[in-house]
Amino acid sequence: MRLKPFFNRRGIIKEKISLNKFGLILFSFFTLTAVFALHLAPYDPWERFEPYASPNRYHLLGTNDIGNDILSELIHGSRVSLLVGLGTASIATLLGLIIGLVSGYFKGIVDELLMGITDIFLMIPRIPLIIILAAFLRPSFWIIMLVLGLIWWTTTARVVRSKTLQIREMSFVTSSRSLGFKNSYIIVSDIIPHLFQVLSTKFMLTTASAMISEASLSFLGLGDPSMKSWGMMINFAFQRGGFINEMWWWYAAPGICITMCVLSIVSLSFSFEREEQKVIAGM
Amino acid sequence: MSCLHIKNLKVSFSTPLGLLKAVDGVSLDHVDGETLALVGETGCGKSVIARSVMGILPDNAVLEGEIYYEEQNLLKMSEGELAVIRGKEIGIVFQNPSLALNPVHSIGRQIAEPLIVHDRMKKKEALLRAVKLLEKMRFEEAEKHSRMFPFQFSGGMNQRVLIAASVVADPKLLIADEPTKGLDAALKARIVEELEIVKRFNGTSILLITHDFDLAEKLSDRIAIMYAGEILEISPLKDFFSQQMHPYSQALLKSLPDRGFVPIPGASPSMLNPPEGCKFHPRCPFMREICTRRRPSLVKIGGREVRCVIYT
Amino acid sequence: MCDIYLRAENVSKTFASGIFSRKHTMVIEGISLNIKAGKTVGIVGSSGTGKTTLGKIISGIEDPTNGEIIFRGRKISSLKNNGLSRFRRKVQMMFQDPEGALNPLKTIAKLFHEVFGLVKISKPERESRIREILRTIGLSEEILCRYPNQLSGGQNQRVALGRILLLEPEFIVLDEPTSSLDISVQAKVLHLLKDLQRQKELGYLFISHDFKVVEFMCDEVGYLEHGVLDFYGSTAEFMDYRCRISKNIR
Repeated sequence: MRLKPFFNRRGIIKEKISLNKFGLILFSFFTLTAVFALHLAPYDPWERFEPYASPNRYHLLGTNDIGNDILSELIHGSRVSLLVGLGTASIATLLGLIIGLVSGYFKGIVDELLMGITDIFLMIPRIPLIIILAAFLRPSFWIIMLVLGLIWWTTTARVVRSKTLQIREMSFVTSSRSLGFKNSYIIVSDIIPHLFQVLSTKFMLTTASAMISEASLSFLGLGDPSMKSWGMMINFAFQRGGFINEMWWWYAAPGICITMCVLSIVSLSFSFEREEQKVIAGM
Repeated sequence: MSCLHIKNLKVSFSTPLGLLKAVDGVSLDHVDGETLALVGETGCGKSVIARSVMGILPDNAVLEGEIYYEEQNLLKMSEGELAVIRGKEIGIVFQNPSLALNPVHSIGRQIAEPLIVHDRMKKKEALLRAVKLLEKMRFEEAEKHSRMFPFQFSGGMNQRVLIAASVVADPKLLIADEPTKGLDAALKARIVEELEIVKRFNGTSILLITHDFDLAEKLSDRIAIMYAGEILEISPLKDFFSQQMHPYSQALLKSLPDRGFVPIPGASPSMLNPPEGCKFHPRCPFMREICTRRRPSLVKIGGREVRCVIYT
Repeated sequence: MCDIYLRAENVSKTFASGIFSRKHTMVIEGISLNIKAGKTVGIVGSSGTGKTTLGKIISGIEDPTNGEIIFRGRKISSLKNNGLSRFRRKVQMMFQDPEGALNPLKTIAKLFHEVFGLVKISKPERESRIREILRTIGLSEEILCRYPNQLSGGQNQRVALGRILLLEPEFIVLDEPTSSLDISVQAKVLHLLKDLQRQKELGYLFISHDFKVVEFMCDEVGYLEHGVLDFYGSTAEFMDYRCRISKNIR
């Protein structure tokens, strides 16, 4: 009677293994591109050539309105996009880890207080807040990263908290406590290592959603105009006549890049999650 | 007539450390209506046998041999055919009752589920049957309990519910995998009572898998002792408790609290590279030179079978 | 020697739940017992009667709502830093499930070595201490580089015991130490515990639901029912009492 899910689950697992490889290859491709952007890009993205050129031998993806080579822009853009994603995720994961850990480990009043704060942060509508902030502050790459990071820790904190609650009741933690180890030692050596899988999954997912948010903000014109991110490229393509003139290579290329990059990250995080479930199931 | 017939079953798992032989050449004849207890220590492969019969082994398992259920070879059946047999003909009770029950459905609904799915009974009728069954199983307030949910029950109560759920479709064979694990004495007694009802009223054959001799003594007709993937001894219950034949069975009984509390020296062998010859020889007090070389076969003596060179 | 004892005096514990309307649940009530060095007091009772809570309170992991734990003539609640950490070290607790009691991500060697963070032992001495403990608990040195899930339940339970022994405790609360072990292994662990008691004059509080095991292990037995000690006396008296209650049930 309860056997069906068992078989279903096995089926799904097989599917995801292939997804995982695909994600890994794609993600390493984007990361390598970002790291070696200087060597890979054919031109400096700010260098000017003949504007509005269609794809040709010298400019594989043509040039934009002020004559920048689109392929070079794309390659350099991977740096900005990935940096915003990873930076945001680092801030958010670190904050979420600390808050979730403290809340879950010490329980009681501390927990209720911190989870109350988390709930308030969860209620803040993110994109409108960033739009308002971007309108008041100078739209800048660093501010976007900081603001996204500072409001995106909530889900991580909740997951970390529930996992911590679970681990702290496991008997090896209780036995460490009864042996007389200090809380700080138990947290660092018994609890954090067991959070690794949850954290890596959340880290990847935060990276992906931060990249999408950055792209949407840039598209709305609230991004950092001095940094050529993929979102900014689409924004320019729409504002400066790329769309009207049917220069699809101008806006389609960064669009595809965003989609593929986010997809690769999400599929990686799925495989992390599956590993975690395997650990739980004791397989 | 035998309802379950296992012939030279070998199950191994491929692990990163090598091939793990969990079951190594087990043959069993489960007579209709009898309760056969499969007793052994952790990791001796007794649960693996249950899972092979049900066809729910993990992916990395390699199966050899034959398992006949009423003349049909279960290992050659398709998933669909197996599913029918699993629900209607063979019931199973797992070790962990809280995980095996679905938290969002009421107890009555879960007991009735096999009737609705396999017998296409109407929901109302099936629920009524479920309540009747709970009454038969001596639940104090069957009507009220059938409307409750698994999380409102203790682990022991859930285990009782699970037994009820697995026999509602009147299976011919019930496989009970450690049905009393982690339960205290009072609940254990209730489980025994419930399984006895199943035996008596439905004439169900039970394959009882346990490490608890008390439970085996109370319920079973025959007892099979397993060690490191092999059956070392099969005996009718009475004969077994008056005189164990295999040295391992003797040592195992002596380690019981009320029979001397003498530990068996050494540790259970690794299933990755089990010892040559008789698998028990490194721990056996009657070890002879031949035991290190030749693996003894099961010898029939009277109504009993034993795997030891002493009896050849 | 007679001043070495661990006593619980009229100990109660209630759990409060809910934030606004506090609901109080009494877990154990008015329990007094006395554990002497070198003796074993058994606690039996069915599941959910507060046996583990009592163990945790006596070993100082949880505080009682009412009552006092007295260690060597001094109330635990009055102990300050030094005395408290001394009590913590001298009174240890061993838990039920052998698989979960050790951090699965650490090797056995690491699990032993981390305990030295609690006691001051010079580095060269540590290796020999570990070797000595391994001999006592009957495990070979090759297990040091393995992980807990590569060992059997009985071996894990012995490693957990070894870790406790490194702290040189005087009292150990044993919470169902063998209930999840195989019968042949159970005998081995219980014999080990008895030998240790003889060698080191340890006092045990032995929590179990198995009457037979308790009769084998204990000098005195308490029978816990719904959080109250229904019976407390010597093992021989307890066997009488058990005969009486089992007749009553029937």
